[in-house]
Amino acid sequence: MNARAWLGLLRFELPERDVRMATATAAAFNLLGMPIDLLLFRNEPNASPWPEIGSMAVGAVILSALALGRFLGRPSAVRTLFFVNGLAVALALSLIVPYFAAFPRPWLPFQGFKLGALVAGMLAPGFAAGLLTIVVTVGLPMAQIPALPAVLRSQVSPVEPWALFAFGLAAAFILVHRLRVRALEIRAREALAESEARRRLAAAYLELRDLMNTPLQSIELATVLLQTPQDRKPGDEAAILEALRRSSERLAAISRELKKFEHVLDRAGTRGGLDGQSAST
Amino acid sequence: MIPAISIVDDCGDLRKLMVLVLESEGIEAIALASLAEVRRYAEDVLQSCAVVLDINLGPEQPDGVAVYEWLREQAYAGRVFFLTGHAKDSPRLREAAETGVPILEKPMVFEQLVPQLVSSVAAAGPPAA
Repeated sequence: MNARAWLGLLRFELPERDVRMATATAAAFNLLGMPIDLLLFRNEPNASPWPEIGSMAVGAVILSALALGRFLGRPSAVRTLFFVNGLAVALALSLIVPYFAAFPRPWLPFQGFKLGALVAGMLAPGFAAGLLTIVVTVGLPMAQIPALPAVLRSQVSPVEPWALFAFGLAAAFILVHRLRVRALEIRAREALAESEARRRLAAAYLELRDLMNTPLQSIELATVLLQTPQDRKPGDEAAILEALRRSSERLAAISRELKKFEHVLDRAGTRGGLDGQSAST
Repeated sequence: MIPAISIVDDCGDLRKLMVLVLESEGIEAIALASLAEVRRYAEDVLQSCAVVLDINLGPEQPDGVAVYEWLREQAYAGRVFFLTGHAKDSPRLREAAETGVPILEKPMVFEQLVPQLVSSVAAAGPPAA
């Protein structure tokens, strides 16, 4: 990807509906996934449930707000909520980590963070929100390793924190790929829609031209006949003038019909490109 | 008197004006609005030197191509022209183009339209009495 493509990706915005759906899904994942941790530590008296409950509360509030239609028309705010949800999950997981010291079985460290990073890559509603969430989700545990209790630090695999970093990198690649594919899909769909709109507009113009051509032909013939009085019979002038008048009325009627579409035009004043000069040459 | 040219167009004003134009050139013409009228005046039409057909003869009406097909069935020997306001890409015009009949596009300037019609009469000679 060149610099321009990267810039495009940074600026790319998913449709608002997709942004809301992605954030709601992440919040639901938070709300329904955290109880698993509660179950893990249900028999551990020193394990406070408040980190999980706090994270679930954040997920519940975000999910409810989106379900109730809050933040409609504000996709930036919704993308921020995605990050807030991810931050809540990462913070909760960080607070839970020391509880594993009391576990009788060996600890598989940081699984939740790795899963969270991948989920962020798969769901993020925007590049910035996604990348920040991934950074926080893998960055927090990476920073936490030196401060772990000795019993836990001894269980941390030598591949850490690089495994965390690798998951973060993978999540970032997933994010970039997903958004790029989505951007291309949207661009292709917009091009198709524009092409169809142009085709329909052209068909409408051609229908219009068809309606106009017969009165124009009448006007052409009537004009020539009026210019050559010596070539016509007495009394024909009235009939010619009447035909001219009706043809003019037909064109006026078409013009009146077209007035109905004035409101559709861009009020910025852009026109279709025809002007009197070029049309008459 | 048997007309030299038959005009078939659903626009009454254009029919009237075409007749006046041709009369100013000394050519008798008959103007008809539909296939039904063409059939009603079949004798005059089939003896004319040329037939000018509009393609769109109105809603619910057989179009100019149908009139052409009828002329062919009657073994019409004169020249046929389509005079149409349709754009080149319209399905109706494509159908007309497949007949091989010359297509004149409205609006045609007088100096282009009339000589073509006059020359077709001249080429055919005077119509049968």
